[in-house]
Amino acid sequence: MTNQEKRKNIAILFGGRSVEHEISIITGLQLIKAIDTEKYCPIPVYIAPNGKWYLGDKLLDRNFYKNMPKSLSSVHEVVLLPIPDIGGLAVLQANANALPNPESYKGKDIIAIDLYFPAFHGSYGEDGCIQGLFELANIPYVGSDVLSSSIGMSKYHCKKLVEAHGISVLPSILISKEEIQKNLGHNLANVRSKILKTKDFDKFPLFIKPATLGSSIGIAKAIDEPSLDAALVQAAKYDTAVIIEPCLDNKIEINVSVLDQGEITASVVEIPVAAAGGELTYEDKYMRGGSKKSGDLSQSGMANLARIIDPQDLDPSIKSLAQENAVKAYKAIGCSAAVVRIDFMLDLNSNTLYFNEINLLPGSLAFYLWVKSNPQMLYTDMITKLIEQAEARHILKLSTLREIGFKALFK
Amino acid sequence: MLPFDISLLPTLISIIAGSYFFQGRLLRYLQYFQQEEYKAFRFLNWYWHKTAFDKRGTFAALFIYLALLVSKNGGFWLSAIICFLGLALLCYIRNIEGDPKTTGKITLKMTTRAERIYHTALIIYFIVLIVLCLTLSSYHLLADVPLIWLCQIALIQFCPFSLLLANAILSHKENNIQTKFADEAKYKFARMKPFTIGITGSYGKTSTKMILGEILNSLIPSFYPGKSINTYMGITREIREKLEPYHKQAIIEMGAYQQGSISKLCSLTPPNAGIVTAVGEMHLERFGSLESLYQAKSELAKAIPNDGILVVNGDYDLCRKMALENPKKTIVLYGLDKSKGNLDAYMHDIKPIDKGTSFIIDWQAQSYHGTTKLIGKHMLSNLLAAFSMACTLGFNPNYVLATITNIKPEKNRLEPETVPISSLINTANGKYTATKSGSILRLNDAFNSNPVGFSTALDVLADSPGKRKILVTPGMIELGEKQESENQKAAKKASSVCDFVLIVGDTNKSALVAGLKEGNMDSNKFKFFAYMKDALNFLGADYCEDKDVVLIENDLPDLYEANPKF
Repeated sequence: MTNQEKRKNIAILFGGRSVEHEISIITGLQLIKAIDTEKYCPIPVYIAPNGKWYLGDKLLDRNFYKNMPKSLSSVHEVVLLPIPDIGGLAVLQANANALPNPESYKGKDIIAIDLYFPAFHGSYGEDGCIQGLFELANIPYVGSDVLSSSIGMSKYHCKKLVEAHGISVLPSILISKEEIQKNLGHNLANVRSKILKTKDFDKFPLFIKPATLGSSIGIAKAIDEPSLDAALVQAAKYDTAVIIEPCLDNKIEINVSVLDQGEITASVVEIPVAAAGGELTYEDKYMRGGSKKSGDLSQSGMANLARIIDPQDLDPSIKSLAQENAVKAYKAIGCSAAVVRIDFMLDLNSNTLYFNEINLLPGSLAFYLWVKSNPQMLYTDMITKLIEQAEARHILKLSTLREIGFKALFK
Repeated sequence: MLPFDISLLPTLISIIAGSYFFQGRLLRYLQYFQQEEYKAFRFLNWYWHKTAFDKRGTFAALFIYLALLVSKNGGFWLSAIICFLGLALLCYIRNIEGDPKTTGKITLKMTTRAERIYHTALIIYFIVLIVLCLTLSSYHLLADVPLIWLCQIALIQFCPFSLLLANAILSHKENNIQTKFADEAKYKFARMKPFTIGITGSYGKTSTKMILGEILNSLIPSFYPGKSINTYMGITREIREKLEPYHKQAIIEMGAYQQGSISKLCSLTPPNAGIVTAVGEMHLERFGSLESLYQAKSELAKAIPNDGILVVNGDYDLCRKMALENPKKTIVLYGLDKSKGNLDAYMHDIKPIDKGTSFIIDWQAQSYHGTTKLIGKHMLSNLLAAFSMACTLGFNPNYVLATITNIKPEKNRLEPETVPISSLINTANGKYTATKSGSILRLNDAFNSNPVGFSTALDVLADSPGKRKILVTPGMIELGEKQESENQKAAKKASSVCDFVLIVGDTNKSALVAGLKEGNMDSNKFKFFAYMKDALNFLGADYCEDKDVVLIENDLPDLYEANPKF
């Protein structure tokens, strides 16, 4: 057996039914470029916006996505069945021109996969949904499990949890979409007055965000009652719940990445820079730096954002507090076999560091922070570590005793 | 006898050349036939007025014919070479003209119907060709190459008519398919039975639909076909493809193309409520008189049940008349001008704010203050129409205003944007290079202009801060006998607002010039261009300076621009 054949098949999954679909494609393609091909054979798996799964070498070409839906006919359509031990992706519709070729296994056309590496952002990919499918299929996968993923995805619940572990957070209110829309919108005035009557929320500006969405989509700052109404309506357009937070008037954002490499470690800190001061927008995060048509892929997506890594003028004690709290939050939320990015806000008036949110599958997997960390970690090595941790976690899980019997039924 | 007589080689080359060219021509004519909605009369009208006969292919064939005549005694190989030259020439012409599926403002879309017409036309061509060859052969003339090239000319000129013939042959089948689709859509719609709001009017239908769609959809899942889909077959297709059981409301834009077209739409999607945004000069040429246009628009009001809702624009006398002649349980008059009488929803105190407009709406004895990112009075009128309908349906006015605050301007509908000067240049054309720095405020109102829209766009241009005010326009179309006077009127107003005017195409050239001259505009202050892209290239490469304001008012399909070259 040659080394080539011994390589493990790693399915890199990206796309997905999320508003961050496009960003996920960038993250996925970056990851495939960086993976150690001596050890692993990366297999791209693309979930289209309609939820169908596709597999094939053609997915590596960016033009594939420009030429959809026509190009979809040049790859296999596959699916992951929620049945343990199938050992791969079942082929629904094979394509003679796509690689790798399916093999027959127990009477089914299968593309063998040893481990799944999700590179999704947002809904259905970062929030525990796809993780649930991996669990049902009983296969190793990179990244946090169902519970930590879903907690981390809810900005509100996540804050409540880390607060219980002694990390400072800003106060927040959670309001359901139903409440905002109730009675053909006639309840909106009640919602508004309820918010404004809450302690810490009696003055503008306020921040309104969809409760589980990332990438700054649907976020708005309310400066008066009409803009609060508009912000609530807008956020409810994107999510089934809305979170409201007070707005710090003099603050900076500080991000830290945390990686499970056997030991849980924190990266250097960074300060992302918004184009026009104020808040980062979706455009800031992903579209600034010009429209590079054939630009370097490694500089796309989150890796493209204007930022200051390891800022020299930031108080070292704040840096280490951010790193310490990041590791603490990672553990509190229960993440494992993962690389995450944790966003803090530093109130420059009171010098207080607040936990803001966790990104369970950060854009570009936050590799740009690790290459600048000390000791330096290259993207390729980071991917290897994550795969090894995921395998270890899977073995640990297999070793838990779960007997299923029929004694009660046939007593 | 040999299976192939070598003496027929020039003939064969000639036929291949002709067939290849014919196929290319066919696609190009199909592009325009499609834009004329496969209507034979409209296509012929275009063909005649734009003198869109084939010239290039005909001249090439004529040239080859003459060359063949001159060299008649030059022997077999010379005539073979000349025929081969003909092949090269026709291939060259076809190639420089480009693929209609990718070139032109509105590219040829190879829908199944277009495919069917195209293939049928090709079959017709080959039948004609075979009959021709058989006839020639029976007279032993098949090797007479000059004659073959004369026949080529006839075949090339036959090209547009082969499309019409194909369409006529297919029309029966086409009708059957359409009827089947429409029946399916009707059945599906009736089964789902969403609360249906029809929208019609001379202007503002699409914008009103999109705004109302955003508002209703924010509370109740609503079905509203995108863009300006407003025909029977267009709505049919949308229903078949996109209507879902969870859609509890439907907003249907209804275009009045002739008497009865709205009635027909109302049978497909029976309205519970309706909005009439305006009854004015737009599309007058389709109806002949304002009265028959009024009757056509009234078909929506008539189709609404007596216990239904009718919301009309009180700023138009004919809308008020419609409300009086079609009493419903709930009648709502909205408007920006109280001088014509009572208004149930009255918008006033319209003021420009940073990137948008603020306004006050008086509704049911209360005043509501609102803001929007939309600009232009006609757009605010559309907004008021949507507000009136939503509130009549029981939506909370403040909630509706909150939704309105979030609505983004649609593309090409008086959409203000600060862009670099170089972005005006069409980079596909290597002739111009982007050397200018600085940026301009671009007011893009390229979508379907009308007298009211044109006038408000000029108001916005006048109010926009900037150095010089520049207008780019081909003028307005489909205004019937008023087309000339309305364009002249608009141009006269433009002369008092603009520092420079770029007139595109020749459809309205003389009327626009007359208007500008009437407004005493200096003749060096306006310039003519055959195509929109030429005008924009000129602005981007030569004329514009930092902080200029450019209004792009209307952009016509290729059909109306300068004469296409065939």
